[in-house]
Amino acid sequence: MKVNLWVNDQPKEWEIEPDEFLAESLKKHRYASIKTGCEIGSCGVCTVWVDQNPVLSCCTLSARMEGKHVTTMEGVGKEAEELAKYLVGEAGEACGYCSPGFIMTVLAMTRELTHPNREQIRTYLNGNLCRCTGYLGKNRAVEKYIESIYNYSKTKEEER
Amino acid sequence: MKIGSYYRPESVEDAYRCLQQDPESCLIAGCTSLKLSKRYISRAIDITALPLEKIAFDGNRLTIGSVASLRDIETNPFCKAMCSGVLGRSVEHIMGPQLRRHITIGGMLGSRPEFSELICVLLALNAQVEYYKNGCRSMEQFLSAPPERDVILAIQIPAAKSRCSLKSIRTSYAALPILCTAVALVEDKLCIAVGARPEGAVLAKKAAKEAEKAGKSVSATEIASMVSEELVMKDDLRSSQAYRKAMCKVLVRSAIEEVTNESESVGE
Repeated sequence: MKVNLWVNDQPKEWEIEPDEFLAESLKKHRYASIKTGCEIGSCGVCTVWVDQNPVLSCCTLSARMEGKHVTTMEGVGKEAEELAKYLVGEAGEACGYCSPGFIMTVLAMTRELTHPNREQIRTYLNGNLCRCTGYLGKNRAVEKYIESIYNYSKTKEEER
Repeated sequence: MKIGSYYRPESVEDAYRCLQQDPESCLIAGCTSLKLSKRYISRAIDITALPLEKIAFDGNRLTIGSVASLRDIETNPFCKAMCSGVLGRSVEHIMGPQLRRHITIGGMLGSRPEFSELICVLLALNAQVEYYKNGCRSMEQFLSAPPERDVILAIQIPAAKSRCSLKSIRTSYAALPILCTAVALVEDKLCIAVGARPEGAVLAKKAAKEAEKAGKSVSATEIASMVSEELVMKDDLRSSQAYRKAMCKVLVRSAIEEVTNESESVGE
């Protein structure tokens, strides 16, 4: 069957199987940031955005993507790069396998919550597992990143 | 899971008709539980595009559309206001927001996971499951009957002055509960549900009846002991029967104390 969708703002027409999941389709079309881990929706490694909401691509049927806007980490390059700097700075990167899903979740959180506190951050990121167990570095990095974007928007507001 | 063909119905009637036509067809929504099965689905009827995701409160009852996700329930202001946010608390331990955005309340009811705290809460609150053709079923009827080949439209929760407390025990934040208990106080009557026994949630009717008969002369500890005696608990990988029995007394007592001492009520 055919499905028409948008990936990182590019229109696509893909030939898919009825039981094909979005992670498989994206991998097939060489979106290198897509990683899969548990493939049952428990690890968060495959997180992408569908219509700006973070979803698990391993549990999302590609057939359901008709007319939808899918965003992978390739589509948020600049922001991802900025957050990655903090991850590296706080030794939160580790092996890097979970990073694309983690980054997509953190960026979704910054859109959904205004200046989240430590507890909100931890709760929001609860579904992103790290096989290297580098959670402390990751948490520090996210807190610093959020502080930086909060301070940036505060300065912008003051300038106005 | 293997899917023969995928179909997006145009209406609930269309979905219902397709479901009746082929015994190997199946309604799909979040796909999280189906993905774990080895089932062959000749025709997957995807109901997520149907307008069944609304959450509304009319002053007397809360209606949650069957396609509303657990994340919707967690963030919806009506759900947050009900019984001090017990509905949100019943789903917050399910991994991250991404997974909770996938799981729909209708899908969760369809697969009836034994460990579901949400089902336990709905049972205690005497929620109703509304089918498209077969009318309404109380949660108790719904859980005791085999799955019906019908479309679940919504879950209705009566809100009239009820209070509800959820108490669970688990080994870590996102682990499945070893035991969960929900106690609701509806018009001065206690309604006690216990789930993850490890079997699914059931009501402790005998204990609730005894408590009603005895009035204020019976303590929360005594009611909790009756509940622990009444309900069947078993061993599994997560816990022993003896531990569950012991914890049931603690959790039920604590939940009863919370609902009987709580000053705020639902819908306010």
